[in-house]
Amino acid sequence: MNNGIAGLRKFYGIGRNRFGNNWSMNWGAVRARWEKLGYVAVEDMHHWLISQALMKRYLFLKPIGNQSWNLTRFSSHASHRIWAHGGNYMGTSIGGTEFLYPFTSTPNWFNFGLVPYTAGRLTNSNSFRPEEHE
Amino acid sequence: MKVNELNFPIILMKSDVSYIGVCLRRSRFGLISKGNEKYYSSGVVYDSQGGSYELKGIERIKSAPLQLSLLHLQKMLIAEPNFKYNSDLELDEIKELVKAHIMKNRNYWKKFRSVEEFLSSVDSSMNLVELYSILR
Repeated sequence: MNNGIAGLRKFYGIGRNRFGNNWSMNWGAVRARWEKLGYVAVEDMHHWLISQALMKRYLFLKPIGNQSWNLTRFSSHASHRIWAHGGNYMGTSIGGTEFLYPFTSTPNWFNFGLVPYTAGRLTNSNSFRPEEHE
Repeated sequence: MKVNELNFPIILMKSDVSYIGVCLRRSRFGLISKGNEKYYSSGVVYDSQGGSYELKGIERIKSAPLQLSLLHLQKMLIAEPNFKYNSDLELDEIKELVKAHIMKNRNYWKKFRSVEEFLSSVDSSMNLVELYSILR
């Protein structure tokens, strides 16, 4: 049945995109489509919220997780391994990267939202509050 | 032989490590966190002139310069491995070795890009420096 529908769509060119008929939501295919459009440079991309392991387990997450909102760029494979995955690259690892994750591995829109909020809370807790002294 | 004789950048391939280590500068070669001394005890180094060198254990370990320790937020060490010169290889021979390593560890590499893309990038690289930059 599916083969028949796919065959008809192929024959009539229905649903054909500019990359052929490749609508796969696998990361490799998504990335290849983006590269054709010039969106992704040759850099390491990190799935910061919905991990690839999670998408492998729950397939319905693939179309949601393999999108730009869930990706952050790293300039090299080394920095990706060390900062985002807390791993080891050529014998170098840095302890405590998990605590820095919100600052090192999340996108700017998340980061800029989080940092002022956190910093604001910390500052407020120590600062002079006029209402308490009235 | 000494690390000074290597032409940087270099790559270090280890059969038990899925990624290929790329080292751009001489000052970073052998740089390790405490407890990771084993990394430089085995494997094969390919330099940017095509020379291949086998690592044969660690000769000595010394403290890294202070600025590197500060940069890595911990006390860093420098491992000085023993090298054994193997042979000089052509670009195509190193490409084949890199491709074989990627194919062997395809489950790791496909997390970043499709394996076919990696292989075609490797094939299209014009020199060793370009090839190593793809793996970085």
